[in-house]
Amino acid sequence: MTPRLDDYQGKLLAEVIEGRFGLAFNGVRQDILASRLETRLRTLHLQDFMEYYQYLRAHPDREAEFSELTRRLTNNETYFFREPQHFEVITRHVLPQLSLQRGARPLRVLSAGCSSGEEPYSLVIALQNAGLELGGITWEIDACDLNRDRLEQAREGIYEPNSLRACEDEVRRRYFTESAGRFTLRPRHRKGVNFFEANLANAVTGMGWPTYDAILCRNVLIYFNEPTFFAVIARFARALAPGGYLLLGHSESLIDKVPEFVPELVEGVVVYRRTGEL
Amino acid sequence: IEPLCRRHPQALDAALPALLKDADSRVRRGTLLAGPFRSDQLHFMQAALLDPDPEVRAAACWALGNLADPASIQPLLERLQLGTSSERAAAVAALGRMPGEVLQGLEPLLASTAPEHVVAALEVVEHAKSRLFDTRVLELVKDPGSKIRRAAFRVVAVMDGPRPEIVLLRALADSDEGVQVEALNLLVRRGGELVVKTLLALLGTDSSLRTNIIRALGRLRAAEATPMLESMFTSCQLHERIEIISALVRIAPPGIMRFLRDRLQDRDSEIRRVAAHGIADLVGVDDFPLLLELTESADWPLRHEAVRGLARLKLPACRPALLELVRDLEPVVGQAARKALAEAQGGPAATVR
Repeated sequence: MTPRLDDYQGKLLAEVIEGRFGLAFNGVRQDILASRLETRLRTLHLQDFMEYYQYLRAHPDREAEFSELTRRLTNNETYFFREPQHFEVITRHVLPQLSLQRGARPLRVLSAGCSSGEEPYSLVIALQNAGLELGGITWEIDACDLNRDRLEQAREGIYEPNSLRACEDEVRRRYFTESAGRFTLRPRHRKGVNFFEANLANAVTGMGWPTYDAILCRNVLIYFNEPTFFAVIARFARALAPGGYLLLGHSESLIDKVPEFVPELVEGVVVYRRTGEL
Repeated sequence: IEPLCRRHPQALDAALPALLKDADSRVRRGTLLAGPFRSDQLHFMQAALLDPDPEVRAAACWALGNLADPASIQPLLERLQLGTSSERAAAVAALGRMPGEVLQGLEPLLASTAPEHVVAALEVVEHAKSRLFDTRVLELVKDPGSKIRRAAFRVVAVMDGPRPEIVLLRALADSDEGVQVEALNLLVRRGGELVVKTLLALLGTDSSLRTNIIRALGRLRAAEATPMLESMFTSCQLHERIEIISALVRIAPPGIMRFLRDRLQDRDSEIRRVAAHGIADLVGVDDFPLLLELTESADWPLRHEAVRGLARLKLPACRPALLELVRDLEPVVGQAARKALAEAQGGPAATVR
């Protein structure tokens, strides 16, 4: 039976997690937390979440457990061509807008919180389908996530059917090979993607990022508490070229929150443009 | 389809064959998971084991498990060996519901060179409480693979007689810490004459298992462990001290409240918190002033424990303190105080302001 995470235990765990990662787990998100940590309780032979909290606070092996924790805290709910309008915005709007600024260099995009790679690979497919290769346009896509296991899966490019739930049969056949109920993305659609481990909440992570033309960070910021949220946005502002685009999930907004970004409505989608000279 | 099957089992009886042929695999799966199948419909479920969708095949395994008809053992064994991970899990669960004396078909799996097959077969033996393979299981507790040993010890734990206790106690010296902890937990669950005595002997050894031994003694409510736990408290590391406090709270020996009260002065906040938790668990009428002190703590978890303690006491004198705590700056504390007041009045928490 699943141990119950009551409000008190949830608050204690949330404090530990927030202190460590800047991730906010309040209210309804405690349910998510409980379901994700259930296996850790079993593995560590702990009876309830109070014991798990004490483990994180005092056990000599707690550092290793924090690494395990990161793998479970991030939302891995992702699939190919999720909110596909964002990819159209990049191919039909961002690229033409930035063509002068970009010159002959590749388009540079960051997929922040990329999980197992569905987002950056969807972007590659969208760029290829837009015929950009024929026009001599190349791209470099950096993709980072906190979860090492997910990144490993991203590099392998092998997916369960759930990751392809927005793909019709024709799309599955065209971009994937199927074996034993799993789908392997064809090598041609993995071109130009560089995966790396990073905690967006950690200031050190942001150092050395190049200047991007666009950053996709969808359904990630909802997990951050307010100070971390603004710190991450400031890091994005530094990492984006002036005039560059930040694309967030549909439930996330920067409107009237930070001066570094101004909202723009593009093809029915709200995107955020980095202020400053082009 | 699942809610429909559960709500209207009789009305759907005649439609089950058609639903199992539905083009949508979700309908086939839902029908298998919730359909009111009878023994004479076994062939429908067995046919579903050949479905192209692995999730439907897994659902068929679950459905066959519900009927627990030995005629399904062979096809379930095939899914256990050849299926996807969800099919294997479902097949193990289904086979585990079969009568233990008809599981001879597991013998080749228990002799298999594939560890996952051996582990799966052991899980079936454990759940079915089959006695057909006792000799083989006792061989497998010495297997080089720790996963196999762990699974074998879990089977030993459900065996009858005095021998399993000896086998599990020996497992405390296993080379793999995971196996040691598994054995320890199995011993706690199973109990036995020698367990506490052995654990007390092991308590003196400085090993990574000691934390788990302390916890086990607490779960066993081993009063004879109290002097040793108290005497080693000051020399232990923080995580062991936390375990000792928790164990002593479970054992609840005479004088425990004074021990816990002293811990409230500890310089480490975790010690203070776990001591306050214990005070709230064991509080008596005489401890009311102590709870009032805790309500004034700067550390919100201590105030929360004060609320728990006051709620447990159920004294009229607790009400003013709880009313004060309703307005606590920490919402979790205020919410707990509201709930405690409502329970004292016999009404829902929301009615208390």
